Amino acid sequence: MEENRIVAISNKSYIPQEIVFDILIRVFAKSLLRFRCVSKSFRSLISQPLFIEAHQKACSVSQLIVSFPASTRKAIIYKLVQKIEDGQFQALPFQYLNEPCFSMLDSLESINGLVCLWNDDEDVAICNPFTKQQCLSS
Amino acid sequence: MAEAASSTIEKNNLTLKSSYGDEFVLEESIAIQSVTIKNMVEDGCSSSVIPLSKVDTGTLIKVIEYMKMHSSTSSNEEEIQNFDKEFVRISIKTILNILEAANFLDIRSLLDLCAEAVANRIKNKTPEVVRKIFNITSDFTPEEEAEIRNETPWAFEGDLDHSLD
Repeated sequence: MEENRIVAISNKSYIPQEIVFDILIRVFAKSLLRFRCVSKSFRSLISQPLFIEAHQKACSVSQLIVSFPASTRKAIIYKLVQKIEDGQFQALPFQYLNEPCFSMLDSLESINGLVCLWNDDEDVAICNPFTKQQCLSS
Repeated sequence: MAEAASSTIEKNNLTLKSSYGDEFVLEESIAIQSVTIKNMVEDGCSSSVIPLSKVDTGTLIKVIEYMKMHSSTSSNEEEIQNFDKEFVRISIKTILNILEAANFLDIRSLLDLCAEAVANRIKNKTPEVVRKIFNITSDFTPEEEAEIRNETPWAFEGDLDHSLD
C-alpha cells in the first residue's frame, strides 16, 4: 500500500497520486533524481516503468542534444537544448558529455534516454547523461 | 432525453454548484469542455443543478473563466496563449487546487496547462520545499535520505530554489 501513501499531516488536503504523476512526468531528470528523497511514495512513483515511459514521452519533445565542432581541436562540444517557459528554448553546454573521456567521440545517437557515442577509431561509449552512468569500450 | 424540469433554467444552460453552495449558470456548450459534465448531460442527469462537492468557489470561478476563454470564438490563438500565460501566474497552491478540479471534471487541456506550470515552478526546488508544497512528511530515516543523496550528489548541487512559491 506504500504507493498510495501521499498523506498530509498538517491539514487534510493532500495531492492525489495521479496529479503528482501528471506534474512529475514534466520535470527533467535531474530534478527527479533530487525528488526521489521527498518521500517513499515519490521514490516509488519515479521508479515505476509506467512513469518512466510517460516521462520520456512528455520530455522528449522538450529537450535534445546538439553537437558543435570545437574551434581549436578535433573535438566536439555537446549542448543540451531545453524548452523553457513560454515556448522558448535555451542551449547550455552539456557538461557531462564534454568530459575528456567523451571528447574524441564525434558521433552520437540516442534512444530512450541512453546515448551512444563513437568515432572512426571504433571507440564506443554508452551512457545515461542524466544519471551519469556509463560504460566505455576498452 | 430529459428536459429541464425547472422553468427558470433555459435548456441550454447548466448550473454548477461549488462546495460552498455558490451557484454559477453556464452555457451547456461551454460547460461540456468538462468530459465529466458532458457525460452527465448525455446521461440526462443534469436537468437541475450539478453539485461539485470537491470544488470550492474560488477554484470554480477560475475553471469557468478558463472554459469561457477556451470556447470563445472571438479570441484568436495568440490571445488564448496570453490568457493561459496569465492564468497560471498565481500561487502554486492555487494551481494545485485547479489541477484537482480539472482532474475531477476531466478537462485535459486545463490539466496539461496547470501540470506544466507546477513542473516549471518546482523544477529547481529542494526536496524540503517540495514536501511543503505537496503537504508531505518524509518517511525516510536520515540514513536512508543520506543514501539517496549520495547516489547522485550532483543532482543536489547548484543554485537550488528555497522559496515556497
